[in-house]
Amino acid sequence: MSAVADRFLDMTVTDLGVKIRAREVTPTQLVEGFLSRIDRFDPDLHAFVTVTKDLAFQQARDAERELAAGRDRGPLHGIPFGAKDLLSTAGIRTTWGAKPYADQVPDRDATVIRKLRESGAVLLGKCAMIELAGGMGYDIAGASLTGAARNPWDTGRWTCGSSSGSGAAVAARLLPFAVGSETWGSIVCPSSFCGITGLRPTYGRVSRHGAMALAWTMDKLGPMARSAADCEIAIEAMAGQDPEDPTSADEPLGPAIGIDGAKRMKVGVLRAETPKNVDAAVIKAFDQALDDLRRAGVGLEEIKLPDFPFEEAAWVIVTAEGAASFESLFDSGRVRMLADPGAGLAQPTSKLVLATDYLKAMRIRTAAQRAMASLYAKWDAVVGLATHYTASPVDAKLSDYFSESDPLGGTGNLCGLPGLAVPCGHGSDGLPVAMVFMPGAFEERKALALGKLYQSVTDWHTKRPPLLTRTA
Amino acid sequence: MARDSSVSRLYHGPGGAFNAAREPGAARPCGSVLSEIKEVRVIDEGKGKDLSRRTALRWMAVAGPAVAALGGAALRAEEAKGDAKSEAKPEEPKLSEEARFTIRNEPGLSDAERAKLEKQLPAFEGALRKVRDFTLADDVEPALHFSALRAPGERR
Repeated sequence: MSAVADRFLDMTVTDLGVKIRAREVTPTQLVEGFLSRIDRFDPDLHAFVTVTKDLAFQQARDAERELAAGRDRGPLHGIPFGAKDLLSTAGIRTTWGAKPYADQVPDRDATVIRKLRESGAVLLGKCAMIELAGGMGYDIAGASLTGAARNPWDTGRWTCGSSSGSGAAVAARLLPFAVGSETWGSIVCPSSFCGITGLRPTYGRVSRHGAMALAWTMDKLGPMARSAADCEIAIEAMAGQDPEDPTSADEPLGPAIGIDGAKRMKVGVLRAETPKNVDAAVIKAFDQALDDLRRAGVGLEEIKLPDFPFEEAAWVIVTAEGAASFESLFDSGRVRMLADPGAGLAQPTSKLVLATDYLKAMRIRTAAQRAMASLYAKWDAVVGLATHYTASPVDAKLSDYFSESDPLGGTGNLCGLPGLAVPCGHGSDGLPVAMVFMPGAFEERKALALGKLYQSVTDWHTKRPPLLTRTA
Repeated sequence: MARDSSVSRLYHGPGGAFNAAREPGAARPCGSVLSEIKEVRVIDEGKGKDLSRRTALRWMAVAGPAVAALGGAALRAEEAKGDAKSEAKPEEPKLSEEARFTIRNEPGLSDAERAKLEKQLPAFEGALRKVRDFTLADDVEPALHFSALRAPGERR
């Protein structure tokens, strides 16, 4: 691909759509360009499990033909994307990032893959991930079939997990957007570490039919992109009730909210306890982001969450559901094939959870949901830091590196609430920091509007990782 | 390549469970009026979550029965909490009899794994205790959904 066309690869979905329709670039050229970047950078990043080159060219040619014939499927038509490798793709290896499933080839597409295909998006590859989305627990970044994913901001650092490859690929401009999944933190944390924008949708917003099941009542699928506007385009294509997933909700996404609407919003600021030895620049970045929001017109006030054991209840639920979900993996002994040396300990731990514990956690969940719903009667959203840390060293023992509680993530994932992670600065190490907008259930539009507003007055989401600057 | 033989762990078919709740006003009804009143009271009484309280959970280990990665930091967090309260060395979290039994009898574990489990389980048991000790009104139902299923072709 020519150097001229290389500039297109840095563009957002929104801008690429304009360029494709202006015939300044074709979907096939984009596929060629992104493949060239993948060839160049992925050996350093380990962001992909499988690159679907032939399929991508075929879908790109189809998109070109349709657009030329006047059939426009919308803003994703001709746009390449990647899918976390826990989404079934017909005839294409779907490994769940784990050795026991390394040769698994589904015969059907997951609903979200089908919906994106029907929107004209071009599947460029399956993105690397932590094995079984972290379902057996993990203490090393290398707990993945493809090894540790490396962060484009510093290849000595990790991307976070479990949507590791999705984060790395989008940040390194190997893809304009990708699909990730979150049970607890797996979209928000990689988006934060990689300096991209990621949307964890409301539980039930996106069909999970054909996705690997880890925790039935907590798994969500969502987009990871380089702007809130791009996440909005992607979620519009992904969302919707699906008869094949009875947990998918009959809730309309509603009309988009513009940035003027966001200026009238009232947002509660959640300040979680600051862990020891936290980088002061991270706190400063968040404070600056709050100032930027305030100046943009958003009403901000510090709040506290209602008093529930959000994280403990979520931990119990994920432990019980994960052990049930992977019962045969444990019983067959194949859990020993996983890369993380501690993976075999998840089942004995789950045996401590009584049925009454699970039900109690689910009762806490009911009460917590209602309390949070009451909170959202007053606030449009809650905002807090995604994490107090920037990306961890790739060889770090994770339980040594991370020592913070996660009230925002624990609450959001227990209650099924959406969250939009937005880059909001850099730590003193030059690595990205992010904040999360968390509105009420099925109110993704509010988070997206706040994200769009913030990104209209700041440029953190446009920063390029040094990897591209250094070697391009 | 082998065909997928693990479809049971893919999402498909009927099943349904937890649903996200909308805010009041836009809400679909869930639960009794009594429950609603009791839960609003929790907020009104100003019992906001004490964010200086470490929950002894390391969220990084996310996404799963993530005990293998959770234990260390959780223990440290509990110890830090103890340190803040007094200069005295905090008490070692105690394992329950059930946990000891599991560690002793779980088949297929190496000695090193049993030792690791012994270190990690107190944090998880701490979470279990918090769940067990949390008080709820009797009429708060679990966030589960079950419904009877009509046979195909049956008339209403």
